[in-house]
Amino acid sequence: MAKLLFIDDDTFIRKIYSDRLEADGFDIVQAENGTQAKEILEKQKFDLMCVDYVMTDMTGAEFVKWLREEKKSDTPVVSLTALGQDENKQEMLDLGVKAYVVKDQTTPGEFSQLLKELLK
Amino acid sequence: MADLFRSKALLGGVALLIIFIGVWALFIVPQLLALDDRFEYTAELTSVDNFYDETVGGYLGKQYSVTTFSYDVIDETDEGLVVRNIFDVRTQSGDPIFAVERFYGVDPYTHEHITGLGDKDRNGYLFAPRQLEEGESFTYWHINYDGPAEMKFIEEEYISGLRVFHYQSTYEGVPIDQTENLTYLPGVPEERGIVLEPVLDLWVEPVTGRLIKYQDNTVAYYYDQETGEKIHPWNNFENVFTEQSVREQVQIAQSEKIQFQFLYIYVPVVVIILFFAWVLFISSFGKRGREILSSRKSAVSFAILPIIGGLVVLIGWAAHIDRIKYLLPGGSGMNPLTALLFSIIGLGILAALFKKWIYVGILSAVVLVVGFLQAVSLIWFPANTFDLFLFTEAVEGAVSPSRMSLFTSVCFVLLGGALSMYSLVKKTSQSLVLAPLSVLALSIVALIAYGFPDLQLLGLGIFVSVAFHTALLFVVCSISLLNLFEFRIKSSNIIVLGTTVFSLLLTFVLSAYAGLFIQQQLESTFLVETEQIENAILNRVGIYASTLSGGVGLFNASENVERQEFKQYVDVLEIQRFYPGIQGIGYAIVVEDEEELIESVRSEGFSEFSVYPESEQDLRTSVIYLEPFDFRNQRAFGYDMFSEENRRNAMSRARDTGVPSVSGKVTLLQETENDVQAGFLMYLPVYSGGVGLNTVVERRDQLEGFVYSPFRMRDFMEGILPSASVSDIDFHIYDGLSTTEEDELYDADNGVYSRSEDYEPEFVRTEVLYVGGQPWTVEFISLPSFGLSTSDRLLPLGILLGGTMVSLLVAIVLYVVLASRERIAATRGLQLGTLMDNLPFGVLIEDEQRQVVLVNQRVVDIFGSSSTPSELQGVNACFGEELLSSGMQEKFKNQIEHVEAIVDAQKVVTDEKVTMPGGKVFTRSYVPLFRDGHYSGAIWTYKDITKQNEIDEMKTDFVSMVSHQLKTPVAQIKGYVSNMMDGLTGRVTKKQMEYLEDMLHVANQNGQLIDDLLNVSRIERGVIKVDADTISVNETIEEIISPLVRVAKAKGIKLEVGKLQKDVILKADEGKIIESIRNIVDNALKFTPKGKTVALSASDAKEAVVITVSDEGPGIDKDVQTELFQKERVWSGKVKASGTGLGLYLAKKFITLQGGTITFKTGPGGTVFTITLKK
Repeated sequence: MAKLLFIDDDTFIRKIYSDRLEADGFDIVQAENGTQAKEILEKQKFDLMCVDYVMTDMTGAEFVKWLREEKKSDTPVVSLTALGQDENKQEMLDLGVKAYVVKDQTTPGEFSQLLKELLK
Repeated sequence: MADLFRSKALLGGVALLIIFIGVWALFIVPQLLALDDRFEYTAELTSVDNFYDETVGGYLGKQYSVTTFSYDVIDETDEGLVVRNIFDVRTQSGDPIFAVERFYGVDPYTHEHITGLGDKDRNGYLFAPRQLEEGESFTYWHINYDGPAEMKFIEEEYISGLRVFHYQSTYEGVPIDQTENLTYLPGVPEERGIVLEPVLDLWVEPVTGRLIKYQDNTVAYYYDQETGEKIHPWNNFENVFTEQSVREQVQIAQSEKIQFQFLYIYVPVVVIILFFAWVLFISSFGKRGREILSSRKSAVSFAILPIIGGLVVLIGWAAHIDRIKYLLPGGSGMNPLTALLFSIIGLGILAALFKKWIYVGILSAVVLVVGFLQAVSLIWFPANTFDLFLFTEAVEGAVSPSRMSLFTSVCFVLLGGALSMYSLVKKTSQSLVLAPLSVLALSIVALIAYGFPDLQLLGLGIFVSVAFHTALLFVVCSISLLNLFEFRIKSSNIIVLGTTVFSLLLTFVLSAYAGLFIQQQLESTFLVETEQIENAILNRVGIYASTLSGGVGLFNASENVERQEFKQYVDVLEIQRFYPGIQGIGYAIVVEDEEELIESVRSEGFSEFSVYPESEQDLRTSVIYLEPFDFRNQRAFGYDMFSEENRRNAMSRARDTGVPSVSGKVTLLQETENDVQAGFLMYLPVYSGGVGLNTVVERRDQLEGFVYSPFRMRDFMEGILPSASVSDIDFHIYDGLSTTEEDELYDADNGVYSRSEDYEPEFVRTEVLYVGGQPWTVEFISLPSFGLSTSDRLLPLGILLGGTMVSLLVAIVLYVVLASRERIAATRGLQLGTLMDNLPFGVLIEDEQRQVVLVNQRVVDIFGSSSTPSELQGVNACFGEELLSSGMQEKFKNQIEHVEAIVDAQKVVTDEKVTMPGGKVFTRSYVPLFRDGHYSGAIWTYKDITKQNEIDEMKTDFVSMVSHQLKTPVAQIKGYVSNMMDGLTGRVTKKQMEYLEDMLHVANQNGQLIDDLLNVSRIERGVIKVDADTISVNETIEEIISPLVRVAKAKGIKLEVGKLQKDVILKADEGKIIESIRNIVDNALKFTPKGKTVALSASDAKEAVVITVSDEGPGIDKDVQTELFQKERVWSGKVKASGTGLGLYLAKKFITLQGGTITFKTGPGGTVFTITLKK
């Protein structure tokens, strides 16, 4: 059972994706923003993280940077974002995210499929 | 150049200057002034001998001879020069009497004798040392005495205005033995020798040490060679320079002195002035130099100079200190009024610098008025000039030029006037500058002219007469005023000024040469005419002497010449007709027995005859014949001429020499009370033994009488002169060697000019003629009319006036032309400048040397330069310190390299973004300029986009915010719908599924629209980038098509795909290509009806891959075709079909961004889009 931290400031998005991913058998922990995610990471460990780009307290990139440099964690990260801009995509890929998924160009089912692929 | 005053360049220049002056004074000038083989010195002397007759026991009377005293160089050795000195005495008719020559070794630098060179070791000077101090003594070797004469300083004197030192020596303790040189004399050297006791006087010019004049008076004694005792005198002789020679020596010495001072003083002074002028000139172009020039400190110190200069001279006058009043350099005294005015104008300028206008007004008015009064008085009352009135004692007592000259007065009027004007209007103007400018030009000419004393000629003397230091102070004053008037050197000023000064100088030199030429011509004319007069006098005397010879012949031929015979002889001569001036011819008999003579004559019927007056002399004579025996001549009948000194001297000389002798000046007995003239007599002796007597004793023994003639001088001369031709030359004849009035025999113009002290003749010549053994000094003076008939005389003045007018005309024309051109350029420049300054961006134009041609204010602002745009012209465009403030320079290093790379490439660069160190952001463009195919510079533009950049950044933030906000709902809807479709909410009915699919489609379209809008915004902001990677064409086609297959199927359209037979790998941005082509295919699907076909096919062309998308739709409307790829089509609402309509616009942008093209063909049967992708 893969344990996944899903970070997104949008309640609906968290609900949509959690519903779908839990249905597909993922163990989901939700975080509203980067700060909350950091707190959760103090206590728990995850197999995978899914991070939004635009958040209230920091960007997804800043979070990944923190994760890699401060937390020294190499937990795989997938970027799930509303933004489809090249520059954000490049920034995230440069930080070593496993995938850069634009929310409106995918469906929760496709995303779940992608995660399963990644965890294989 | 601004750095000049900070850098070591100035210091180095000053050091070089000091070295130059040292080398100049210590090595070059001595070399220039050294004696060389061209050295020559010639003077003519009158030698007077008075021989002692031991048989008679007395002196025989003065005999005059002519001596040439000369020096020349005969050899030049390493040690020094060998100078020959000749003393050559000749009779009046040119027969040699006595000559001696000696050879001296002379040091060419010091003029000291060199031992081991020459005919004897000597330890004195050729003449005298240079730079003599008052009271200083030296040793001189005179050729006649060839012993060291210790010359003692007597006093300072002036000869023709030249300052000289008078020296004397009596050869104390130096026995001068002349035995060797006089062996031809009887008894010399067998038993007797000759020793001299001379008194030698020298007059020496103290600066150059040149001998101006010498005079010696020597008694030569015979002495016994055994006992050394003096026996008796042999000769009492004296030698003295003729006045003509003294005058010549004065002239030469004056030239030499000026040359000496010129080289030692003026050249270094002028070099120093030029050096500093150059420094000021150069620096006046730079900003810092201008600051220094116009700084209060330099202006004040400049104004103080004339004050100090004037005061120092005034102190000299007040305290009678010659050294100061003849202020160096120059040596000629500065007039006290001139000195005073210099101080006043200096104070005036100083007051102006401190804006004390009342003082400026008063001081400048004083200068103006005094200068004017002096000028007026010089012209109309030359005897009572204003400076004489103010400083009577100083001006009258001064020896050297003492009046404040017209030149000086005019300069003061100009300077005072300009300063007065300035004090009234209190602002500077173009015309105000003219006064000091002309004073500056005149003074510079005067400074130059001072070095060439030969230019003291017609009309040009006005420049030369200005003392060097006066001209120098005028230069200082005029520069000071120019500074006050804020005169700035402009290039057109330099051209006008330079041309004017040059043409004025040319005029000046030409005029001077013409003057010199005419002067020389006139001088030779003067010489020729005066020599004609001399010859006429000598000829007449010769002819008259021959009439006396005839008389002597008469007496020699017959035992007894009767009165009647003598009368016949004289009658035949027709003296009154052929011999004007001759009063008669007479015979004075030596009286042996007075009573017998009286009786004999009385017996002829002259009962009143007697011999008179009574006489103590050992010889008694009496005039017994004097024809024509008229009323006048009868007054001399019986007169004993030997009783009167003047006549006696001539008679003795005639008796002792046997040749015609002329007496000194006498008043003839024949004179009545009317028209008394000076007179002289001429005697020829009659001996009983006839001619051919050899000794004085024989001649005295056999003397019988004298044939003689009395002459009235004026009558004598009137016959001589061919009147008209010499009317412009006055001459005086003096008896003897002096030219005092009491010795005057004749005055050609009755003293009209010669007695007037104010008259300064142009030419003067003095010559000693020997007339019957008697010296007559003839002084020739040119009269004002001399040479006036020569129209050439006006040539120098004509050239001067004409040349000056032409120069001024040229200056005016040049000024007008340059000014108008400048005005046009200024207008043009103004227009250009206005244009440049109003451009909304910075422009810098540089030439091929990377020098700034033109910049505008914006560039200055961008780079933070402290200069103005015009000051930046010509500076290095490569971000030198003038362009880029020093703080920015360090931070800008990378940019400088980058810019150099751009310039090296010479390729257009457009809108390159540059972030300046200060944080400002610019876009920079570079356009190289080519002229005739050669790189000739470039234009740089800098556009400030700092604000725009900020806005863009805000926009980006805004857009991402908006897109996030807009796209999130799309994603939410899609997520919910998708979860439902996936059955997460339970089973979905068919109809529900259909609805959900429609919702998904709507959400997708909405998402696409947002993406398109974002892309358009990114394109507009220029932030869109091509993310090139290697892509496979066939794989890309697969990507394009895959999501559309379902769409086509749903619409019932046949989608045909033709991939490449052989796949091609391209370098391109895959995402953008997919989006572009997918948009086109998507469009095609939209417009193609059910059952028709949409085809995509790829083909491999040589340099590109061509992809075509064809449909079988209705074709594109005509009115849409032209703006198919433009986004405006969307905004204007022309899009009818569903979709954003931005697809084609983005497709076109994405494809062209990668170097590809996109075109279409359309018609009723369908539309074909052709896309080429560069390989």
